Amino acid sequence: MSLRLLCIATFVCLLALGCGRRRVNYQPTGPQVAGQQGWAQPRIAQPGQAVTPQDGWMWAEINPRGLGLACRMPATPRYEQRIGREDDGAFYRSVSARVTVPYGNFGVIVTEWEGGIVGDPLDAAHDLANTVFSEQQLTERRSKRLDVAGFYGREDTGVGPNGAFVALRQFVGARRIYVAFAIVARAHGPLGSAEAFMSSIRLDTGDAIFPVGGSSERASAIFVPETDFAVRMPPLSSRRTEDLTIGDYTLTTHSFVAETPGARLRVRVIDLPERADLEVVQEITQGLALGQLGAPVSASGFPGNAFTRTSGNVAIDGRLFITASRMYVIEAARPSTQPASALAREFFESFRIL
Amino acid sequence: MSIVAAKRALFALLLSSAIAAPSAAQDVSAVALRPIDRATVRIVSVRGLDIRAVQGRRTRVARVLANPLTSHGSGVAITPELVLTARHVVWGADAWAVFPPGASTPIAARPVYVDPVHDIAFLQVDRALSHHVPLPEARQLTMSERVSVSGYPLDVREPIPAAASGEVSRVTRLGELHLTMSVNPGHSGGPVIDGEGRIVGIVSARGRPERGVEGLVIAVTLPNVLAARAHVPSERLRFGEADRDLAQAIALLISEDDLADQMNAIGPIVQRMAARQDVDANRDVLVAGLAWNTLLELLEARSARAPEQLPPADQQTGRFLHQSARLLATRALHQGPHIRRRFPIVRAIALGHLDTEAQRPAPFR
Repeated sequence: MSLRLLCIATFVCLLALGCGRRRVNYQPTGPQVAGQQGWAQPRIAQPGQAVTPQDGWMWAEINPRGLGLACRMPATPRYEQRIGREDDGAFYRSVSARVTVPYGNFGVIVTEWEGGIVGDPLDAAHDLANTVFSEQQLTERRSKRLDVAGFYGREDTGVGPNGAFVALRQFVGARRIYVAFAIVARAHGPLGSAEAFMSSIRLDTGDAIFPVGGSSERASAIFVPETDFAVRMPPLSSRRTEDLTIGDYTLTTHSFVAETPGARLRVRVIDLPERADLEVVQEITQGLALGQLGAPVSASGFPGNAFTRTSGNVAIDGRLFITASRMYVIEAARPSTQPASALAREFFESFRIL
Repeated sequence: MSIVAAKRALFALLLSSAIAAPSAAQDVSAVALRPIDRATVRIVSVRGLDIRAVQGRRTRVARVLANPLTSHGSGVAITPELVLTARHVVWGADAWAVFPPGASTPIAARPVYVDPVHDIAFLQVDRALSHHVPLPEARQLTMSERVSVSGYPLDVREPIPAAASGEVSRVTRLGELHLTMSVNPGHSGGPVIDGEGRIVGIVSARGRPERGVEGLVIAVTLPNVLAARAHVPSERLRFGEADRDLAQAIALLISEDDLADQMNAIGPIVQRMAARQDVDANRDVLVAGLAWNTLLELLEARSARAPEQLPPADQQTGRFLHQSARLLATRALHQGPHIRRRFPIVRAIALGHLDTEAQRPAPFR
């Protein structure tokens, strides 16, 4: 089985090291998150699960200089670097750190681009996972989004033809894409080690896609590739993904909130049910209780309406936009005694659907 | 060749152009336009700038061009400043330009109402159009009634609208107007008119021949258009110099003007855009792409690998285009990170790589 594990690990490495040849993503660089010493840590799938490294093995702390990633691996890794060029002449560098131990293979690959990433990083991450799973004939695939401050993260797990457990995590930053994999035997100890390895990964928030936290009242560009919008607003104070139930529908909703002393700005992105017709959209709109929809507006050629509602001493100005698959609700709350601020105007005027 | 001989040759060239011009004009007027055709406009929407890797035809240098991701469609002026079109012609874009029939000068435009239900949108234009056809009152159509459409199918650079005709097939239970006729990409948003030249709908979609559907056009009915028209805000949008420059940039990106004309037109636009205080990332990167393409065209025309190798008379222009393109692209990157996805060319322009295979050290420590 160990040979099979090695084959899969080598394949992942080759693919991820070569991912510079694909056109991949990007975003802006952002400030480091206060209180986190500049590192963002992915939340693991089952926070309550106790995981410990394998007994009898010395785990190494990995923190290669300038790669923006730190983690723990079950042994000292072997490093490999590859430098290449994209079609547009930009250099890229992929650095991998790999460990092979009797019960499995572990590795991280960090790729960074001269001048940052262009194209769609999410597509690249999705393609990489698809290629690994189809070429290596992995089954029992499970994919999920990982919640990491300032980064896009995803995890794909599956089982190889010989019963090996394969975990692939990918994180997208502003300049780099981070890929981590663990391929282990399906036994309690090795699986625990895979979990310990994955949960030890920390990312330098200096490479975050968008600014998170902080108390700045100045707007900066925020681009969230997975929800296809861009806007100018202060650094996010919170970002949540949750299910929203309206009538018969359970809808995935992503919220992005920035708070300043005089305003609270929020973007909500609601994934519509497949083939939602006008009636469904109207039902969902009513369920959101936005208030009376007013003047028609548009963003990037998509239709919408302005709205205003008051709740106690707070007035909320907003815009609702509808695309084929999503609703975007952008809102600016202010004290009802004050007029809309310049920050709110910039927020509304800068909103783009991509 | 002596200077005198060169002047004579130039004069002869100008003379032959002058003689050729009326004949070209005669070609244009060979087919008389109906009132509806004169009110039918070309709409170009820009959704991004991709990378196109090419090899210089003279220098053999590996270059990357800004490849505009545009879509185009048709629309009809229903008032001097309001254009009716299909929603899918305008959505997903951040810059629009409208061209009246026969015109190569664009008019800045922006959507003022996009219908959430039907494939309908209204654009307001920056200046009054010479011809328009008002929306009539709705009337009942007759089965097999003859109708025709006007629009700009296929080639985005074609300045004169094309007609297609057929008959009313049916109005479906979903309220779609089906017509038996053939249209092509670019006809979308164009007006459907009856035998008396009155608008009875707009083109929305066509049957897909690859799925075995032929000769079918799906149109939005006039009652739906009239209902949407009632939602168009009465407040007029304001257009500024930046909007006009952006429309001109769109026109230049899709044009086939010769290099001298292109350089004359682009210089003032780039200067004004670089001097603007109200920075807009989309606007900046579009103009950067235009300056970049013009620079590459200039380099190839003069067989130069870089601006320093241009003839002295062109060096200043070359350096100006290179520096301006880099400045605008870099500024756009700082203002709008999202443009990295929609405008992948922005990295190459910001880095200024005129030869993508030139030997240089990797920038990693």
